[in-house]
Amino acid sequence: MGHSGTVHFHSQTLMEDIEATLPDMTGIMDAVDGSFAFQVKMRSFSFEKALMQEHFNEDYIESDQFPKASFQGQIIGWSESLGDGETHVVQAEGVFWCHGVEQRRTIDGSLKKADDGWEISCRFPVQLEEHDIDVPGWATYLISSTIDVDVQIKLTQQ
Amino acid sequence: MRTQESSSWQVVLLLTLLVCSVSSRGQGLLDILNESVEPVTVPVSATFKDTRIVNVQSSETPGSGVLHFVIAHRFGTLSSGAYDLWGLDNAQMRMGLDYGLTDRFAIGVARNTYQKTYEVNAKARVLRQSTGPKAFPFSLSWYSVMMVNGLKASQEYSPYYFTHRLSYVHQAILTRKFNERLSFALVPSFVHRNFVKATGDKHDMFLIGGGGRYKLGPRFSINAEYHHRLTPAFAPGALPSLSIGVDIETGGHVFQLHMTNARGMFERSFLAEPAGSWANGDIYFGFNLSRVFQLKTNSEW
Repeated sequence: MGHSGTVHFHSQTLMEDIEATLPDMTGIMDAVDGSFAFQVKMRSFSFEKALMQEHFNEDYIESDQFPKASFQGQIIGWSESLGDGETHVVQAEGVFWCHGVEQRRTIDGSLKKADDGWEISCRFPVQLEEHDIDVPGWATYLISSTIDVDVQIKLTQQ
Repeated sequence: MRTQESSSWQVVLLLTLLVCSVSSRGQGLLDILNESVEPVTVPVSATFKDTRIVNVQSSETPGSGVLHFVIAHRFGTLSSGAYDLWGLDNAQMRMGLDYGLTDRFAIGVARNTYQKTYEVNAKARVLRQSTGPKAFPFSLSWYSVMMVNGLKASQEYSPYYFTHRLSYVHQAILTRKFNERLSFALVPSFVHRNFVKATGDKHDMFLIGGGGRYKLGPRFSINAEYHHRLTPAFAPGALPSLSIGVDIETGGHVFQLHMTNARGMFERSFLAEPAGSWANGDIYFGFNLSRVFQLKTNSEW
């Protein structure tokens, strides 16, 4: 259906906070059955520090090899009544694909029908280990083993 | 028997159809997304891990708002033997600070033990290798440095004017990252010194240099560089410089450890001055240790 979303992630350890945002996420939803897909380009993430961004792309996410991450799934218990203009807390089930590794995930989020489309937000943790993202021993003080991912997107009717 | 077989085939066929329809429906949404996304031009990053390959500049500059502090040592020759602990007793140092004014332009200052030399330098990324719709095959950076000899005047060294203390090097740094592991650099250099001892001595020299790196692990690479003189050396019979080293990266630090036959760490010295002989063991062990400090955060933040 449309785009204009942001993704934000956050890693927190005692030593260092690492945050990144991405302004140009794309998404699509089928309002008939509640199936949807979101996709981001890893190189679009921008970090507070230039070196973090380089390390993210070169050493951890390996963006040349795995340029994209995506989530593709279905909202559980989809019905017409979710489009009544109120904010609904929903769960979605699907496949999260990142760093070349697929994981079946169930995520929590919220959904609201606005005049010109759907506003969707969700938040889910990603375990680096589950996606084969190696963090060397010395970096475990700097990079959390669980990254919180925060997605806000507005899908406009097309 | 026959009916059983055909019915099991039907089940397989039905399953295959189901799997196909499920995956094609799911895939459909991502496919539509991919079609709607316009590909963008992305500059190739991390052609080299640091701003230098060993001695010579790489195409990299510190990012915008990044202060890059480098402390480098070259010890004495390996051939100096056990008494000097193969050169370790005899260190020369370079301390340098570079600052990225933008992602493509940096300025720097440095101080060297050798000839008490001060440096003022500037580096610009003119062209960047990139992928996407406006792909470009290589990067071009420009480096200019002015060096100031800080020695007191003596019989050996007798600059009459301040300008006699100055020398300059200008370099075009052409690099290409061939793949994730392999990068090469081609570096034409021009060296000018204001002061010469005798009237016949040359002021200028042209060189062509080559360098490269090969990544063996995510944070580890082997680097090498060589500089060939295109015009006669300042001193007859002087050997060109050849260096081999490794880069080890740990977070905000890069450790570069190397063996080189050039002891000076500023451009005029390692390009134009006579280097030691690898065959005779006139090789210096050394390191560059860099640390970055983000002074100004990304403006998009």
